Amino acid sequence: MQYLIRFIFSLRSLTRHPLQSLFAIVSIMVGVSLVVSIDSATKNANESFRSSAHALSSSATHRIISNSLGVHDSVFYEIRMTLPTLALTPVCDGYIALRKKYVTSQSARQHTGHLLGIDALTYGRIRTNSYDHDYSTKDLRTEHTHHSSAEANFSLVQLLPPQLFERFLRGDGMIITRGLADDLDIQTVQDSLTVFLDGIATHHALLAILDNSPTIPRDLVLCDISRAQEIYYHRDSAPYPVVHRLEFACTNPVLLDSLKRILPKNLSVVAEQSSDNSLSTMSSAFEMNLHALSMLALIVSMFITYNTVSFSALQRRKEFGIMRILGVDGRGIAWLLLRETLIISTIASLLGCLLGSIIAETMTAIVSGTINDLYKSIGVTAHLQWRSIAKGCTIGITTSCCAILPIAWECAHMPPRTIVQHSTDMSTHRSLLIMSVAGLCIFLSAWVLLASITHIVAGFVAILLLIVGSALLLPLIITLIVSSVTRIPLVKHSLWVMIALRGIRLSLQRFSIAITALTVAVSTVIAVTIMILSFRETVNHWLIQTLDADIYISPPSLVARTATGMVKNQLMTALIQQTGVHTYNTFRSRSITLPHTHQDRMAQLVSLHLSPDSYQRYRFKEAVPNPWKEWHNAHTVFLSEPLAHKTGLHTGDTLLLPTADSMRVFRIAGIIYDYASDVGVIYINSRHYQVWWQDSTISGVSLKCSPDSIATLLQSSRTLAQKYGQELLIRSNTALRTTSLQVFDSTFRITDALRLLTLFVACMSIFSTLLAIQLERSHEHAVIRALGMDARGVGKNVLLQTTCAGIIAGLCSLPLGYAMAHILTEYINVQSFGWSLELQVDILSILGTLCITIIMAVGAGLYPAYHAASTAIATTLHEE
Amino acid sequence: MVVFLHIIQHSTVSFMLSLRSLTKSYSTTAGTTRILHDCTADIPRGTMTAIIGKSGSGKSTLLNILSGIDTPDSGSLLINDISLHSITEQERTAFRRKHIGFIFQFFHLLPGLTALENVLFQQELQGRLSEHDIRHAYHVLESIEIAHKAEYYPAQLSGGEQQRVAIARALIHKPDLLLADEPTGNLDPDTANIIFNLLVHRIRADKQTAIIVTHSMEIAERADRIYEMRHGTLVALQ
Ligand SMILES: Nc1ncnc2c1ncn2[C@@H]1O[C@H](COP(=O)(O)OP(=O)(O)OP(=O)(O)O)[C@@H](O)[C@H]1O
Ligand SMILES: [Mg+2]
Repeated sequence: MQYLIRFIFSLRSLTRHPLQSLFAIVSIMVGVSLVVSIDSATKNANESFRSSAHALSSSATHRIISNSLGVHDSVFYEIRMTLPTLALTPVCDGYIALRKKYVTSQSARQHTGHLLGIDALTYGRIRTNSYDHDYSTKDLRTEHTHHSSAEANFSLVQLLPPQLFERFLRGDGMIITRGLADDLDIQTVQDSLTVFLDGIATHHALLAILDNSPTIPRDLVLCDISRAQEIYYHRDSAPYPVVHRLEFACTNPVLLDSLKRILPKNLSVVAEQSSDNSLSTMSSAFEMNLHALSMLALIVSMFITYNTVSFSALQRRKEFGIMRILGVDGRGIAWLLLRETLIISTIASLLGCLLGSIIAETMTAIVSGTINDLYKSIGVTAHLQWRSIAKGCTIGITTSCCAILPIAWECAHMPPRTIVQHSTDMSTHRSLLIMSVAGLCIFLSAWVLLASITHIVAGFVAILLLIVGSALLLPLIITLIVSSVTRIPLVKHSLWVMIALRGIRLSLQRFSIAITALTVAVSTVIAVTIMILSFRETVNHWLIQTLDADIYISPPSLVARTATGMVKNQLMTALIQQTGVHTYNTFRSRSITLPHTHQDRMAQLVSLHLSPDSYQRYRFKEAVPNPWKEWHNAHTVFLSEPLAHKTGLHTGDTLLLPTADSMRVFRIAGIIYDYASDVGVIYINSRHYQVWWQDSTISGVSLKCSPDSIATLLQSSRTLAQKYGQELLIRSNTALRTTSLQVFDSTFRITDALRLLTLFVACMSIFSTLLAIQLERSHEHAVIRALGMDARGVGKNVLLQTTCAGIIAGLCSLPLGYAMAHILTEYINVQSFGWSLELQVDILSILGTLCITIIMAVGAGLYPAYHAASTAIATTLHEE
Repeated sequence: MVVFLHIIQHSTVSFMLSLRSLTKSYSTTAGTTRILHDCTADIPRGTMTAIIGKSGSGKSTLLNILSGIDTPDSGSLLINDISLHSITEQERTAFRRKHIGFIFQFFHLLPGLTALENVLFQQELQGRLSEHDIRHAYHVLESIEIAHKAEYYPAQLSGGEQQRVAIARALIHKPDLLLADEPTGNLDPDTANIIFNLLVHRIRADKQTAIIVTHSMEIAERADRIYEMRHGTLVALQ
């Protein structure tokens, strides 16, 4: 009963200050929603990333893969003959672009599908072990749509009605999911599909549409292995049919051994587990990037929550003082505060989760777009992440309660008289000094931390320390700025200005909170802006230097950052033999798994045919004395900077790589600056690549010609591509650079969203603090009005004050933002990507941010100014 | 001749202030209460008028209306022949700034300004400050014996000292009409007496029209005339 009364008392006091409670709730809510949305977007993306890697590999234990091109068809039959007990199945696995057939209009969206070609007869043997029981009772008479249970997975193939199963085995068509069908605007199986791979189109009938299920990747396109081989045939350009890999389930070491013995030299057996590992490392850099962003968002929103809560408590100090005088003890007040905070933060956190899950959908879309650009095509589905919600709630409530603790302590321990006396909170010089010294120490500890620990977490802790340190330093800085400005003669003689400025000094604690919130938000924005700008400038610089050819030709790729497609051989020859071509370079790019000593890391192996005049476009971070002489050596490779950073390899070191028939040692002759891929690149001379990997395909070509023949060459290349039936991207130098930068920009779309959100949170928080400060000043405004200042004058005075606050925040956020940018580029970026970036500061954008800060402060001051101007003088005076 | 005309003019408009049937009521959730109820009075130029009355009788409310920071529900109010409540808010503010000095019941000094600056602020509202203004303000502070605390902030002053500053602020621009709401209400009798003497001295010296609300009959008796606020009306006692 007693508790109930106390609870009701707390609720009353919250409704007695409705505006304050509202602001506190909204601020916490926005902060929590920020955490929830970014976190669940990251989780969603990760899940989809993982599930698309895992969904297709459940019960097989091993894979047989080739280190050059695919696995020869005949190998499959040979092994089956020799080891009939081994459950072996061939698989073709890759990404393709899809469109509904006969939709020719450009508006028809092309979608990405995960093509899985299987041999249904053998596939079932290793896949269905654990699922068999599920289907005994299922009724699957409906001819075209199959309602499968969640666990159905791929064994469903077995349960296709006999005539359909037969058609599937014959390779008559494809099976897609309902989700993909919807995307493609396909309603029934009467429709058919057009599939694009490397710009080559093939047409396919539809056999069935699977109902959506969480265990089946939405983008799955299932067909018989023979059909998949057809689609991939041009790529493999081998005189024999190949499959991408063979899978089998085997726990018998003896059997495994005998398999290894009969396996041709160019094939190797890998455990399913290790191949998964390499897939997941590919995403870790991007994950890091996302984590970085959500960490920043978290820090900012935690800070703003802290501000909000401590501010609303500060405002009620007088009330608490009176309660103390009336006999409530310190603990009572502390509990009261804590209880109220608990109520407010719980409401706010719940609302924040609601808002967050709404924003999460947009965020997820942005994140998945970025993943598609960078790594691989996946369909990310946005669903509610309970862990993110729990995280958001926990953070919202704990931060609020932690924020209230020092204030509760202060109110509980202060002699009641002083609490009441301080209608204004002009802090003593001593406490200012103590705070500033503490702030400085925290600042210093941030740098000490960075210098001593080279881990990404240290970077974030350092940023947090910077923020806390500056929050402690700001009151002193504000005092110094205000008191030096009030010494300027022009200001000194205008009491009107003086009232505004001294007002900041008088409500120092409150203004500090508002200014700190603004400073932290703006400096975060500045830091991220500087980081992206530095990034972009570095990349642009690098592109200008690297792209020295005139025309670039490659098949369309599903993933913007990696071009692993292939150009048809004859087309290739025709392209480089065109008249007007001075010199040409070719490249072939494929992914490769580094040996165990490098954690089975995935890297990009790029084989280059370079004309000597292209050598100078590569910039070495470090290299042997004459790297291009070494380049012709059969055992020489160059590494890209990120890969060198991640593996810790240097010039002169050796690297073991799986070539077509065995592991071979290569010597690293140089580390090249490269910003195209954070996965890491190994460069090798194409002459030697073709021998070691027995692969003569080409992923792309660049042509050099005289400037006046560019246009004609572009045209004739297009004609050639058409003639050979392959759609190619044929781009001029500038066009390629523009697209590359566009890809770069899209990588940072998520960051833009974050910047906007941060500014929004800051806006909310400074609006609420400024309004609260001005509400407290309304008595003063009434006096000024009574003395004879007109309403406009009072409004202007408020605006002047908030503008000053904005200017101070802007000025303070410049150095803080720069320091944070320094940490982001020099520590966090280096730790997560391994790129060296040059810190670029664009004066114009910094000035722009400064202006935005001031505009935000002025904007946040508009309503308070209006409110002050329309004060009812007599009533307000009477209230005091 | 000119002087004569001047006197004539003054004698025809002999009243600085004339109130006709002023009413004012406040409505709260508890209902509407009528505070002022047909207040009628004429106050001659250059005189000192005291208003006494029970607490809560509406004295402060009346002063607020007289100064234009509150509006009556009905009735008319002429100050210097200007009908204060039929002009715009803007004009009323300008009028208040120029012609009225107000000593509030609770001082109401601006916390961000020093004693001297609080006084000067009233002067600044009239226009830009000059060196002369500063000297003048200092002089006024001196005349009510608070100049030695000119650089103090209100929070650092005692109640009596704050009241002196408030008085200086109300007098600095030599207003035609001085409204004082219990200028000594919060002070001990001795200090109250000293401060009131200083105030009366200044009022008489500058020949100002003054209306002083007070609880003290002793103080009221030093005025030229006394009104009592009774049931919302002004009743002349002398
Ligand atoms: N803004 C307001 N809203 C509601 N009622 C008000 C308001 N201002 C004054 N009152 C009421 O008007 C009545 C008169 O108030 P006023 O301040 O004029 O009294 P007073 O005569 O000055 O009293 P005191 O001598 O105690 O200062 C009071 O009962 C008060 O409750
Ligand atoms: Mg009163």
